[in-house]
Amino acid sequence: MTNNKTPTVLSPMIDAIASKILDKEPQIKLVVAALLAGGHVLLEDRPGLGKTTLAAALAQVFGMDYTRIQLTSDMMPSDVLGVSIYDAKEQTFSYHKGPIFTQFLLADELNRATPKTQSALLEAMAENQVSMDGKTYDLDSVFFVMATQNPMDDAGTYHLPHSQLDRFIISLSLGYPSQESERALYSPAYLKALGQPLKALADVEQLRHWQQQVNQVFASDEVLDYLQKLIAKTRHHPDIHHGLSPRAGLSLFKLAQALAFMSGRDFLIPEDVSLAFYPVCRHRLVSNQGFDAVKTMIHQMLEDTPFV
Amino acid sequence: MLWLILAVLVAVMPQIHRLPFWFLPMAVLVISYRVYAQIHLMKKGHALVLNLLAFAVVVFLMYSQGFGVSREVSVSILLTMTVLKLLETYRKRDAYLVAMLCYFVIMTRFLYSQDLLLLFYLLLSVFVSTHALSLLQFERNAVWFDKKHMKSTAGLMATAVPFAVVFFLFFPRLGSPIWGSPDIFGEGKTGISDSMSPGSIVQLFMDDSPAFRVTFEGKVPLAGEDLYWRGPVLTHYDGQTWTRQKARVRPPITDYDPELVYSYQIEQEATGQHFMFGLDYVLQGFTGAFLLSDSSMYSPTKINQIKHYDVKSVLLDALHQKISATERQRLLDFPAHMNPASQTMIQEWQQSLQGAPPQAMVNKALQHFHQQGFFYSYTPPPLSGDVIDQFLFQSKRGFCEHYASTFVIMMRMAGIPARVVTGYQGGVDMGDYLLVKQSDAHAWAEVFYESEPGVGAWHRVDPTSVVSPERLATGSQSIIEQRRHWFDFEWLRDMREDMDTMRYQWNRWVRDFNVSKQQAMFELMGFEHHEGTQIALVMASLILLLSLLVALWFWYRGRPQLNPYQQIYRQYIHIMWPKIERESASQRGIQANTRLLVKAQPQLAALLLQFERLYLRARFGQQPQNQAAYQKQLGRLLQAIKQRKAL
Repeated sequence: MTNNKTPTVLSPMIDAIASKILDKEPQIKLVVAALLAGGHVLLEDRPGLGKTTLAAALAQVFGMDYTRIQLTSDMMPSDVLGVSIYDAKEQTFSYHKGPIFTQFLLADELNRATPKTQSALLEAMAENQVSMDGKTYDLDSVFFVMATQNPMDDAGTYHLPHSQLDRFIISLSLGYPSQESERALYSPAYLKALGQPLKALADVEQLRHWQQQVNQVFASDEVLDYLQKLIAKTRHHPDIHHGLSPRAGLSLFKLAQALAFMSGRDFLIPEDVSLAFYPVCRHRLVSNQGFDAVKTMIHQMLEDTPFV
Repeated sequence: MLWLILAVLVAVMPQIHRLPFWFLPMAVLVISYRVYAQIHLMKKGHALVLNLLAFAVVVFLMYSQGFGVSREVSVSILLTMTVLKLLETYRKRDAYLVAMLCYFVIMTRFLYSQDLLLLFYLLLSVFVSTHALSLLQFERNAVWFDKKHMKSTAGLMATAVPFAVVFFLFFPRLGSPIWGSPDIFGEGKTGISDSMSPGSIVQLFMDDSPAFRVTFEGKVPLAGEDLYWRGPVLTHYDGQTWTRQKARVRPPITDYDPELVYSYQIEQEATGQHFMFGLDYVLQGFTGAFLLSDSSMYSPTKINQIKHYDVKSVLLDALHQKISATERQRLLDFPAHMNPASQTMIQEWQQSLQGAPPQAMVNKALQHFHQQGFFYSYTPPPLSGDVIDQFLFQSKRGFCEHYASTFVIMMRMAGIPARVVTGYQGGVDMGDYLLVKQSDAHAWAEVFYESEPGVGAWHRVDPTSVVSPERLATGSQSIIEQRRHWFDFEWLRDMREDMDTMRYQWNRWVRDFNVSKQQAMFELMGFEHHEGTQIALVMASLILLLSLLVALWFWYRGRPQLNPYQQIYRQYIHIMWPKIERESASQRGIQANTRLLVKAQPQLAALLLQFERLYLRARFGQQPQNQAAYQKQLGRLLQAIKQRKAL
């Protein structure tokens, strides 16, 4: 997939981001795909692996308003959504929009926030609007959340419930860079580039247009059969508690569409689906054998469902 | 479950008439209760109630059928218990049992008859049972009727056919069927009996079922007028009924013209009687049949199953014979106190024909029938008392029975020995064989022309022919203008005749496959008598082979079906990868394969990438119209890659 260097509309952006986050092109592609599919991304990583850099680069390249909130355990929902304040002059309550009213929201360390704050944010994410004092305020039509989460075993974290995890189209982890690319980090050229913001290569209007095109990517019956077979596999797997929900299935479909679009195609191929399968399943499937087991199970399911 | 109930119903149905009268209401009650319980999801009845019920039914059965191990009793018990079993069938295990019982019930029907039509019905019944059985495999068969399930059941039955054939051919047979016990005969029609009372033959006219089939050897079947199939000969008359009398065995005919000899095989349906049939006059008796002095054939055992026999007949106008004085006396006997008017008339005739040979009297009588307004009718008014008088002077309507009977009595009154011959006349040419139906039943007369008392020749006289010549030429049906009963249609008759051709083949190839034919088959295959183990081995290996074939067929049916693109992809793998790597390569998608191949063979990169693009677009893209063009193009590209690779 990575070697396939057929240039497409999105390759300039991906290349630009890749110049900041070295050696993580597959992950970058997935994040861009999630953005094009209109979903939200959950990044699961230890601190210092480039989550924030990735988010900033993405926002810059696509020319989006970028807001970053750092979630802590003492944060209230109003700190995210905004608050109504009594205006003495006007003698009315006026609503002060919170940081959520943006186009690109980086919610850092989501699992450090209390469940109350978490769900306030996630509900706004799902409905694309904020309800406050009986009024609803629409969020921007392009609204992309990249939430990061510390690994589960960290102290002082509130685990996201599965109902909330399902709202993220994909989850991924950047992981450590390879030795070569880590070496490149120390080069003066890179360090210089890191300090400067990226040029916007597209605007929100363009993004919206692409998102519409992604929706129109054609799926043949054969590919849909394959997709359904995969979903069915997760539901019948003996070691997995719950299979993919229909919403998850839809996420898989949309992400595959976005991946197909990014490859310059207006139709789905089975590889799009299999490529999308792992990040979509990663945070959704739970097994009592632990996360690593789930990882191998997902790959095993892919292998057991060959498409020829 | 409903299918299971239906299966029981269908299986039991053809035997209901043979069971005690209370069976039908009981079955209806049980089945409707069970259907009701099924619909309303009622629980199983109390075990005590069910046991008591079963006990009561057994008592009833013993009461109405007696106690003992006979076929009737066993079949009745099987049937009633199958029906009752429905009451406690609430679990799958019981349901399986009921379905199996249904097969047994179906099989017992064969103990009574093995007719072709019945076979069709029973096949249907087997289908219903099998369907019920196969539906049990589905947890909840909420779908009452599913074409797909039907099809799979039909498939199951079709799979069973070759096995059935092998078992049929090879399974050791008993010399006589188990159920061929002499006191029972099948459901064959009685046909002609050894007595003739008014109306007995007209009953047969209504019946289009076959009496027997004749296959002629060599010579072509004869014209209708020659086809007199002789059955029982009746000599004793009590004023109403003709009966047969004991007869001795007749010696074979020795002096005959070989030109006139006809050989034929008769396949006679079961009658439960002793009579056999042959053309006048049968040459000689043979094993399995006595030729009696009245020239009729008599089987020592009752004909309870289809019987085949070869007969040789000479077509003679007259049969020379000597008869004893007592015999002669018997042939002249008639109730003297009855029919005075007829007696007077005959006396007048005798006076007018003084001295003339007996032929003159025969002609006189036939002329009388011809000229005095007699006509043929199969619905004559009922006669009683002086039957002959009434017929001759009042009703003047009747059919063969009346004419033959009256004529013989007239002859006897005139002092000419005469007798009534019953049998069949005519037959329908079915191509391979001649079909004689019950409705071809006929009665005619024979008179004895003497040169001196007791020495002379029997001559056949058919008074019916004078009244209704068509009766002989074209068979009984042609003279029946009206429908014989409400169910009588021309097309139905035709259909039944066509059906008989099939039935003939069925009899010939299936029912008639007995122990000797099986033995002959084994010998043809090179087995000596009683090489049981070898035969068993052959059978086992055949069954094994068949099972293999069936398994293979299922495998073939179940193998993955490749669509055109999958085939193209397979070709691609085949061309691009050496044999050992094909398996793993075909598990990969095309993109992964292309990547690997481009790395290995960079000179093909352009072509491979072109192929990949085209392939993906053709297979998954949105162009349903020009599929064929795409496929062609892909084929061409593959060829190009192949050529390029070879360079």
